[in-house]
Amino acid sequence: MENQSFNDSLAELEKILAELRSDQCDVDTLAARTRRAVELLTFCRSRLTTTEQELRSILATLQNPSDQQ
Amino acid sequence: MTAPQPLTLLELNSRISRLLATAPGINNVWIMAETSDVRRSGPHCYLELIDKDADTGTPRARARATIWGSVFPRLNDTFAAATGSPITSGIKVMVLASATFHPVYGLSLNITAINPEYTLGDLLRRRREMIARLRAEGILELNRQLAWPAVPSRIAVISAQGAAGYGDFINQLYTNPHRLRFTTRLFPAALQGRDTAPAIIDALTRIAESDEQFDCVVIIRGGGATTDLASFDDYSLAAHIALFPLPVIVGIGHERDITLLDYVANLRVKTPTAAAEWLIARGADALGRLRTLASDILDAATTRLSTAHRRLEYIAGQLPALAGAAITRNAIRIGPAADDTLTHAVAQVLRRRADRLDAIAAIIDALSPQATLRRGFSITRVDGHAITSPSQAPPGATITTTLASGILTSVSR
Repeated sequence: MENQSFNDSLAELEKILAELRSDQCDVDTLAARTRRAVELLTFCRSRLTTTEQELRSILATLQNPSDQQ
Repeated sequence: MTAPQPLTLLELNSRISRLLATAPGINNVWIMAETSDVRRSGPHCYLELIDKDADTGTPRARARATIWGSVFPRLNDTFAAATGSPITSGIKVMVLASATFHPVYGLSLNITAINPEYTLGDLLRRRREMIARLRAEGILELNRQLAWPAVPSRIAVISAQGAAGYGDFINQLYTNPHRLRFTTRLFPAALQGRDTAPAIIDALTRIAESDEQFDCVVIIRGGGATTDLASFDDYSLAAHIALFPLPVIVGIGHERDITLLDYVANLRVKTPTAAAEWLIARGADALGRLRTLASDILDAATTRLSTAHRRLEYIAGQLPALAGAAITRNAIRIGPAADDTLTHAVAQVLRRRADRLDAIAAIIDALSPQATLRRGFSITRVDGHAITSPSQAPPGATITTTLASGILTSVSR
């Protein structure tokens, strides 16, 4: 998962959506695909956004440029 | 024959000086030349004016010149505002000058006015030539053709450390309302004066050593004075940007200021703040796309669930009647004990079906952030395949039912 790029994840989400909308979606597929979708959405959001703690540490680093490379 | 009365050198030089002061055609004339050795001394500016052969570049004429402190500051400011550069060496100028001759220092041109339009025209012509050269070399559009990653978030910044523009950029980026994650690394470079181009090229070279760590390069300079933009009109710098493997954003001036870099950079923005805003907008777009995907998937899964719901309700509605009929049919043959068994079996089937519905609902709940996942879960399989109809479980088939805490095995009747 870590190595999967944001773009790959988006493409996979689009594919899952298409599958869920098709008539070939049985219970097994529904369970597995929705679970995977949740996983991918969580991953993508975490790639894009930062947590409160991360943000604080970034801002602290910026206030002390000597910490920067 | 008497020798003519000799003059002192001072007398001769004074005569030359007086003659020049009144000679026609050498006072208050506009002349075109190239500057050289421009230097300041106190409020005054001293320079050389050169007339070069257009083909060979060798000087055909040369003269010292002076812009006195009484006019220089105003003249220099006006010139810089119009051309983007203060009066500096190596530029073509049109100046209003008078020839003067000092008994000690000799000939000097006293400059009292300058025509920035002439210099501007020359700068534009040179810029056009450089653009044509970059185009002829096939590299003009290369950086602009680079594809952006879906969300550019790792940013190499070329700016002067502590510059206001850099602060604006960083502040804007890290306080974005979407809480988008950005990482930046500063590659310091002084972005003014004649060292501008080599300093940026040096910074680009350092970024290129680890270009896989970045999504793009941002070259920014604070607003304020519009002077010194001419130092960005550099062929070598433009070529480096054009050939750079990452997209380059340039935000070094205001709207009306254009430099050669604006023709080669992937993206041109007015200010450092605008550069940050553009990057934030890209991230916000991606977040919006994720939101749309999440809600579309939720919709699709919910539709699937209600289809399953309707099917189950149909089966549930049919079962008691079928079971009742079976009991009546068989009551005489198998005796009263079977009554309980059948009722129990029917109840079990119904319970199992309801569990399964709950299970699907639970999965779909997972897409909805408010819901909990702990509502129970079951899938009914025959031969490892999930079944959607009783007809898929012929009598005698082994049925496995996956629940939240284990697997039930039963036999279809």
